[in-house]
Amino acid sequence: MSNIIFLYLISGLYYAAYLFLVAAGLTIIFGLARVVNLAHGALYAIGAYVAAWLMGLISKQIPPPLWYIIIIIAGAAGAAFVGIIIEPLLLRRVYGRLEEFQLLLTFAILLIIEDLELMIWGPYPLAFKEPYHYLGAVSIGGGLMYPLYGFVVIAMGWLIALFLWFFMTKTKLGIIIRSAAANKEVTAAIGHNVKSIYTKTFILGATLAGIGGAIVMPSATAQLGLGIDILVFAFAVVVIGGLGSLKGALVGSLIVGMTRVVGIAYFPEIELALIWLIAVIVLVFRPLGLWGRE
Amino acid sequence: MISRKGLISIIRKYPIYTLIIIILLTLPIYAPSFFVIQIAYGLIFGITGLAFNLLLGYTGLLSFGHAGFFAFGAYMMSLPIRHTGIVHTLEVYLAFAFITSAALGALLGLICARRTRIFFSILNLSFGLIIYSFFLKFWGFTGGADGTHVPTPPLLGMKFAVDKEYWMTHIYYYYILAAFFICLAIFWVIVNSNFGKTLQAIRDNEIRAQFTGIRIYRYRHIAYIISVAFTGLAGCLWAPLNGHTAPEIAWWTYSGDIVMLTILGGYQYFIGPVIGGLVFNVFKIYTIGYTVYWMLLLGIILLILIFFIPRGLVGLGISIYNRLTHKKGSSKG
Repeated sequence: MSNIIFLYLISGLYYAAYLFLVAAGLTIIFGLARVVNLAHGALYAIGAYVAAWLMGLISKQIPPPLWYIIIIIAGAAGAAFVGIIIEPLLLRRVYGRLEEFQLLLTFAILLIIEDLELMIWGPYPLAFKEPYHYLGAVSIGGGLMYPLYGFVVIAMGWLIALFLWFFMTKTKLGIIIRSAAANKEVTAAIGHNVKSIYTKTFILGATLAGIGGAIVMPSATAQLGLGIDILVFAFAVVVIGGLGSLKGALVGSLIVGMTRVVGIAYFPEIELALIWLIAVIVLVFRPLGLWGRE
Repeated sequence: MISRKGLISIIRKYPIYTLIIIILLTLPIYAPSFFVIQIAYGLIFGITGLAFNLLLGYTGLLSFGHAGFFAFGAYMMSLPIRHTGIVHTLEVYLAFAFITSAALGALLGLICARRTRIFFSILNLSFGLIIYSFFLKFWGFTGGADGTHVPTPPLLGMKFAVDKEYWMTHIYYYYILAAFFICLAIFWVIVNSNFGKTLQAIRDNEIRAQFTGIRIYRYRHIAYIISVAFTGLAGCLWAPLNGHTAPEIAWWTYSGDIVMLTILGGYQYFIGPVIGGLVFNVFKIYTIGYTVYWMLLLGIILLILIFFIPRGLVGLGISIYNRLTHKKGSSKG
């Protein structure tokens, strides 16, 4: 029994790891620009697609240990590239406009990216499963095995969480981002280019989503609709944790990841509903989520 | 009753609307069946848009979950039929869907009527997704991803011995048109009543409205109930036209469609969502038929709307009309 619980725990941590990557980007962007990015899941999908596509091209030429690094770099670069295009070109124009236009704009970007994926990579799922199989599985007791790659994803999630904490509290850029989120005018007045901070923050968020998509890809596939599906869970995370809070994104992704595992195991009919019921309950008592700020 | 003189003056004053009404009334005579059916869908989306816009345009609340309420209304027709095997006249289901949707709105409104802005949007998104997952996962009860068949119901207690295409294009089309005009009239009364004006006051300045003694949460709650009830009603009208209800219509991207058609028509105008519903549906169907990249095209049109015509098609029409009449005046003077 105890090893089953251990299995649930690991599975929950696994979901939580990549959900955190998506939700963290969503929450960082919202924290500064106050825009809820409906296209954020599409950046996650871009990460998965670029990684799968690049590995399909060059995986034969490079030694297996390098795969893991290249997957992450490819996913991050792909999503960052899209971020560099859409923030200055589109998103910047709607800061401060009515929310319905902000949401509609990111919805439009989502639709466009979905079809660009179809145009570039075709209607069939892209897969590159070798990194997943290469590491094999480890025994977790009681005759149960768990793929080692799952632990890699979990470790990546925690590493990036640690990096984000360090970045936001200890580095200069992180502190400037936080100050711009707190007060845009004063940050501009003390001589920082707020426009470029917005762009950098968006690229950071996009990169996190891209890494999330890239590291999940070997255990799944890159396919159409991926960006729309993941967003549903990432939203639940930021609603529970509170929009704009990294701590909230971390705790929220753990709650959603664990709920999902328990839900699938014991209440498969209401798995998704269970997650959102928790979100609604949190909102009833804490309208801005656990760590949300107005 | 309106006198003949009054009617003529109305026609002179609103030539475009008169033309649209005449086209809608005579459409099945000359238009191909496919187009008539698409207009019928468009009218239903027009009702949905009116209900949605009571929140967005008049109360200032953007819901990203109305597809869930639309699907809820549709299932309120398909589920009773699935489980009893008896097909009553459609009005029974319309009444049932309206009442249950209102009850749903009353319940959910307890949670979300106190929230505004992005929190209201996301709460409604979550309600929509809970409804979606309920219809998807309880497959024994709802038919799961396959959905549930909806047979052709009697209308006003009458069964029609005609084939399905004729029924849809000639009989049910006029039924929907009548329902559409009734809803249009009801919403016209609502937004021009004291209640509607109060909603707009709350939208424009919540704090000032509160100071004048308005119980803003109660007003928002009632607006929310009306909106959900009529969205459910539209869903129930949609079910026999579609002949099938599946959970995918509750998925949040369809809520995006509802937001989009409302903005397309122009959410600052009463008639905006109606024009938006008609244009959006026809446009979407023909682009899907024409290209696989219809989402790309929709996205680009959405960008154009956001950046160049934020007041929608109705706003665009009005400004073009004003410019034309202004030019005429200036050339004379």
